[in-house]
Parts: sequence; structure tokens; C-alpha cells
Amino acid sequence: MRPDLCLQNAGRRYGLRGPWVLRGVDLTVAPGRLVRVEGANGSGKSTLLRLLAGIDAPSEGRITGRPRTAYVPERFPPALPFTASGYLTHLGTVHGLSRRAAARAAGEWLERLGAAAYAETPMARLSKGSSQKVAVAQALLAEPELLVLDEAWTGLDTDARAELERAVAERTVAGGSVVFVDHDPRRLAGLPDATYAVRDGSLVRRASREPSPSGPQVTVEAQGPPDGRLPEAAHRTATSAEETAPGRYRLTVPAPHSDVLLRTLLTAHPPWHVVSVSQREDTSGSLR
Amino acid sequence: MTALLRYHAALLLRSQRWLPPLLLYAAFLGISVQAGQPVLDSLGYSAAALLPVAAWLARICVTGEPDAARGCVASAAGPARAHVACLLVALAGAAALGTVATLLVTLLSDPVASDHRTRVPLAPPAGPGCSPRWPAPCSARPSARSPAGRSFGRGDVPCRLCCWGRCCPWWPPALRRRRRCRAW
Repeated sequence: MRPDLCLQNAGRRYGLRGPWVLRGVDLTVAPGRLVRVEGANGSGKSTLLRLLAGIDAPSEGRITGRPRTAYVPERFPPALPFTASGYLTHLGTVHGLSRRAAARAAGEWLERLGAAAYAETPMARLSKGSSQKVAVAQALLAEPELLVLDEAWTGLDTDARAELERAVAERTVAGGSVVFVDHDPRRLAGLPDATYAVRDGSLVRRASREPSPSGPQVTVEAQGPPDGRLPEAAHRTATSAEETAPGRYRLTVPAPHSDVLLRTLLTAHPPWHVVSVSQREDTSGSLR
Repeated sequence: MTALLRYHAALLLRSQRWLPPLLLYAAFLGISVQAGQPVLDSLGYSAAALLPVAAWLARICVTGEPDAARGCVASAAGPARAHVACLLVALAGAAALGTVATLLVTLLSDPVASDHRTRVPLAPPAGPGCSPRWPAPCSARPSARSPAGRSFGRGDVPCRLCCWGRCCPWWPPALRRRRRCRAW
């Protein structure tokens, strides 16, 4: 079991005498946690994320328990002299994969994000959204233990946004931690284990389950063995589980977690039978 | 680290930003080094020009990557390792350039000292010249002063400065003149 990533009284300022952007930040990110960071523009969210990602060292305080980390910046410049798959292969090897594994993972992730057609396109010719997909793919291809997303959804199309949400759900279920910033309150709504706000250079924890709108939900009906108990992992993923008949459950799960729940049910021993899957209308507005 | 070095080397080669320093170096050598010139003088010129070219290459390697891409690599490998990899690639580039220049200059030049009389064996100046470039003319000194046959003494420091002066055209004339008074 890897240790938690801990920020102890961490502070950051740019330059020796610059003003403090962040000060006295205490934060613990345990494995498997999804953490949301909020704050106004220029409040220091990105600085906090750069500290978490290990790109910058804190000017005071310390960070312990650094896991294998990947970072997705908000804007990814295409001014790199590589093709998309060439760049991803290089980054995969930097993340510790072999060249062959990196090339394979690069192809898979580009396909999942809907950019497989641009795999051999030079990055200088990619659109903003496509290069953002490359940035997301480079972070996900090595299955990092800590994923830091700085407004990574900006510029992605609807399908890629949903795919990234599912990827985040997969990472947290697989024991990785994810820290993200996004200005859309419906992003991964209802899922974060903790929400923090950066205000006046310090980090404030928001009361858990404060009025955050719940995102789109998926209802799954599953049939197990007559005296079967729901697998423990499925209990953790689902927001509600209701036994309608002996061994038959109706589970409600946030949409990004639906694939994870289905995978849990179908790979359980003995495997469960999925009777139906239906998407409930989002209670807080349109589905993004 | 190998992956980082490969990534930065590919970034440098594909960006083609190595071309201006290479052209500058070639132009400088073309002007200052001529076939039949004493080998130590030529090596001095090529060594002196390599320093700014190496600095330029290091700058290209460090600034060539956009900030966001740099952040991605730094979070994966650690910022210190990413930076060291940049600098190592620049060092390797400068070393390769220096080696090629040394071999070319040694082949083109006359194996004589500046007085055009004392023979200079080619191995000592070219050998050390390939790696730490600038001491090359200095380390060739023992063979040049071998007739005197004395060990390192008080007069050697100014002499060493003199041979540096030979490498550096901007060295004060007083120091450059001293080379006449000693072993050469």
C-alpha cells in the first residue's frame, strides 16, 4: 500500500520576495480518493495543482509520499515537432513503460478519446481540442497513481468529456488518486470525496456533500444467485442499492461510474446477470 | 533517464533549432582556421568558439519545450531529472560538435608550433581536445617544451595564461605577448 500524499504547511511564492500565492496549505490525498479544488480565477488553484503534481517545489513546508504522477495542463500547446502517437510513445517511456507498451497504450487512448484518426498527424497541425486529447492521453496511458487535472475538460468535445469522466472513475476505483479543477459545478457531480476551495491564498475544506448538484444517474438492474449478496465493490460504487426480489437488485450509480459497476458485476464470482441499464434524466439540467 | 534523454534528443533534432549554432560555428571555423596553419593555433580558435556554441545549445534545449509540455514531463519524471536530461543532451551535442571539429582541424593543420619550426606530435593535442576542449593547447605544452626538460615551476602559470591567450583573441595583449618569452 503506497503512503498518502501529504502537503504539510506548504506555501508557494514566485521569486524570493514575491507575494505568497499559497500559504499554510495542509492537504492529504489518500489512494483511491477523488478531490475537487475550487476557486476564482487567479486564486492559486493552478499553483496548488503544480505543487501536487511535483512540477514546482513548495517555497516553505514540505510534501511527502510522492506517488507516480501524471498531469494534464489546461492548455496544451501543439508546438512540438512530433506526431501525436510519436509524442505519446515518448511520454509513455518517460512514465516507465517499454516502447512497445507505450505505443500500444498510445493507440488505445487516442481511440478511446476519439482521436485515432490524428495519430500520425504532426502536432503542429492539430486543433486545440485534438491537442488537448493528446494531453489527456499522455497522462492516462501509464495508469498513474496520482492524476492531476487542471481544467482538463476545456476544449474537449462531449464524447471525450464523458470518456475522461469515465477514465477518472476507473482510476479512483483502481486505487489511484485524482485531484481536479473545473469551473463546471456539474463536472463529476456527487463523486468527489472531498471538495476544497482556494481563498485568499489558503485552502478551505468545504463541508462534504454541500449543495452540489447530482449529475446524471444510471439505473442498473442485476440478478445474482438467489441468496447472493451484492459484491462489496459494487456497494462502494453505487449511490443506492435496493433489493426488489431475492437476489435481484436495482442499483443507482453516477453515470461516469456505470461502466465500473457493470464490470464489477460481470466479473464477480459467480458472475451477475445484468437485466437492464437505463439512464435517468439529470435532475439539475441538461446532460453535458 | 534513458527515456528522458531520448525524448530531449528527439526534441532537439526534430526542432531543427540546432542549425543556427552549427552554421555559426562552421562559419567561424571557416574564417579563422586555414589549412596549413599551426595545429595549436587552429585548435585554440575552434575551442574558443565552441564555448558560446555550447551555451547556445544548452539554451535551446532548456527553452525548446513549451511550458505545458515541460510540466507533463516534470510531473512524470521529476523536474530535476527533466532539467538534467536537457542539459545532458546539450552537453552531448556540444561534445559531438567539438569532436568533429577537433578531428577536422587536426587533419587540416600543420603539426607545428606557432613558430612554424617546432614539431608537435598530433596525438596529445587532439586527444584531450576531443573531450574537455579548451585545455588542448595547454596540455600540448610538455611536448613543445620538452627540450628544456624542466618540471612544472613558477613560470608555468603565466605560460598557461599565455596559451589561454592564444585561444582567446580578446585576451589582453600583454599576456598574449608573453608567450614569446617562455618555452615557445
